[in-house]
Amino acid sequence: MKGYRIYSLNEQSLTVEFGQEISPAVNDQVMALHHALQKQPFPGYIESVPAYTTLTVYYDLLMISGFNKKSNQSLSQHVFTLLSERIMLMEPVKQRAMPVLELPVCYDLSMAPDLPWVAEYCRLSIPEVIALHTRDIYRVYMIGFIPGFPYMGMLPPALEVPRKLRPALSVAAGSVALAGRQTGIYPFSIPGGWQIIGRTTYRLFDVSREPCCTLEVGQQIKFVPITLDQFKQQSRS
Amino acid sequence: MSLRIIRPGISTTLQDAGRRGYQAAGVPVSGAMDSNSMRLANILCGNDPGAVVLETTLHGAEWLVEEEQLIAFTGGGSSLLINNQPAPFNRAIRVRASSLLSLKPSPTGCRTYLAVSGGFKAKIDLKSSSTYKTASFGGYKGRALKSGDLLEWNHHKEPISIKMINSLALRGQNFSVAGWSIDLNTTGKEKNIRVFKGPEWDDFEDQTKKTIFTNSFSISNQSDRMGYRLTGSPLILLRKRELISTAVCMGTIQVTHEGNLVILMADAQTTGGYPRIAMVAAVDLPVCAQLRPGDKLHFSEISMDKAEDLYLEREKLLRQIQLAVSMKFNY
Repeated sequence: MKGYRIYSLNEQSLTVEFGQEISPAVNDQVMALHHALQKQPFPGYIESVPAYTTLTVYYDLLMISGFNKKSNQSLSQHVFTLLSERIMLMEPVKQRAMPVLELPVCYDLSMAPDLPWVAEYCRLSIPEVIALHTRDIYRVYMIGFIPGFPYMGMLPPALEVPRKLRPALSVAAGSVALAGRQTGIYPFSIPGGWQIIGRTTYRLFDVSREPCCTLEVGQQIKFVPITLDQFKQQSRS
Repeated sequence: MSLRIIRPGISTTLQDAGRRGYQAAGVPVSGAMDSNSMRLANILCGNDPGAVVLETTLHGAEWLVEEEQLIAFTGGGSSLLINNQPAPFNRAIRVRASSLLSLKPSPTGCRTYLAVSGGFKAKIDLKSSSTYKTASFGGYKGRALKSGDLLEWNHHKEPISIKMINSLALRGQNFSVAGWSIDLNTTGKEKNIRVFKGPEWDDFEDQTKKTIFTNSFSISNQSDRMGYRLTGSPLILLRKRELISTAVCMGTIQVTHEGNLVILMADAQTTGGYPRIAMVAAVDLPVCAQLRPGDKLHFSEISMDKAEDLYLEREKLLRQIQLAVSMKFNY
């Protein structure tokens, strides 16, 4: 393993950056280290947070200090060394083919407040935006922001849109949104800055289940358009 | 029996030490904003330092203790009246049944904590009782308290709590205050917050790199458990680039598109895409938690080594305090 960089976020976390471009290969490395640490945590490991190209590792400073009498090197330096060793021992990542999961999305304007704006910005008709959004298979690159929010990509360049300058005060749960070359879904109602183009009935997060997050990183997603009637029917069941 | 909420106060929630281990699923850590005050309140009542406490913002709350209890208030932002008589923070207090606790204005601080012996009962989601409103996790029905809510507490008390209660005779009074106190003092007006340079430090203009350490900033009204928006001279990016979303946490200071600073707090999102100009040292997070809208703060740089030492010192101090209290009551 080479071409990675480790930096301190604060005195209780380090970030390993595997690259500066978004790609499935880089994202696979992030997940490989995440799984390795979860399987065999070092003493003092609290948790790690995978993102597109980075894995941030949070650790318990008090526990680290208990195992390592502070000498001339800072404790972060110690964790740095420990992580470097773990990365060296990482096996090359095997590509696993994940099945494609189809997610139903209702693009009815009553659930897509920003769809007209997106169409205008992209110089496309609304049906063309829907056709493009449902054309490709997207990868789940990370889960972040709020519980269960999947960051998926990459969108076709023709659908690239900026975030809102002023976030919407409340985005409905299930809203399917665009930002940059990413598409995501809000599992809960919250203020948000992404452009909302539809809504899904698919439940992304269920605290009573294990695992609570229904999508996982690496998963392949395809959006399937449904009508408002179908949406209402699926919401009831 | 229980605590009856007459007036809830602002953003009043049950909290514990936070929800660790689920950030990979996008679940924020949450927990008490001022972890020092939470732990002190619990230690004062003989509880485990991470037992469930009530957190409220500034003054305005009125809570009725329906059954005799051992309680402790810590933190800042309010002063305490028990049945209209002034009572202190940072001390164990034995209160009679039907005591009305009212939180009145105080010139400093922002977050007040109430611990009761045995700890509050709360909903547990993902191994924590901390309230996270967005997803209705933990706490009391996953939300901030409202008038009429009834909070239960655990009836099992630690032996040390029973000894504490027995050491405080009511003698016809409404309440009885312990003769000893603990205070870590994190409230005040002008604050120096120690920070590390953030991962995107070099994305900012030289002048901005200077002003962040020379200018002072104020806490705006747009501040809550997720983050504090600061007002002050805008910070200017040297290079604007589309950042790839990555981890952020409590204490991350990010700069918005308009150049404003936001300090992320306990309910911080797990990942973000704004440039991170600086990161608050863990030892100063409780100080941030006690800042209220209008308070001024300034930043100074701290080395990794120093921050580690200060953090370890504080953790050891809290353990020593807990030990000293145990020894005082022969445990």
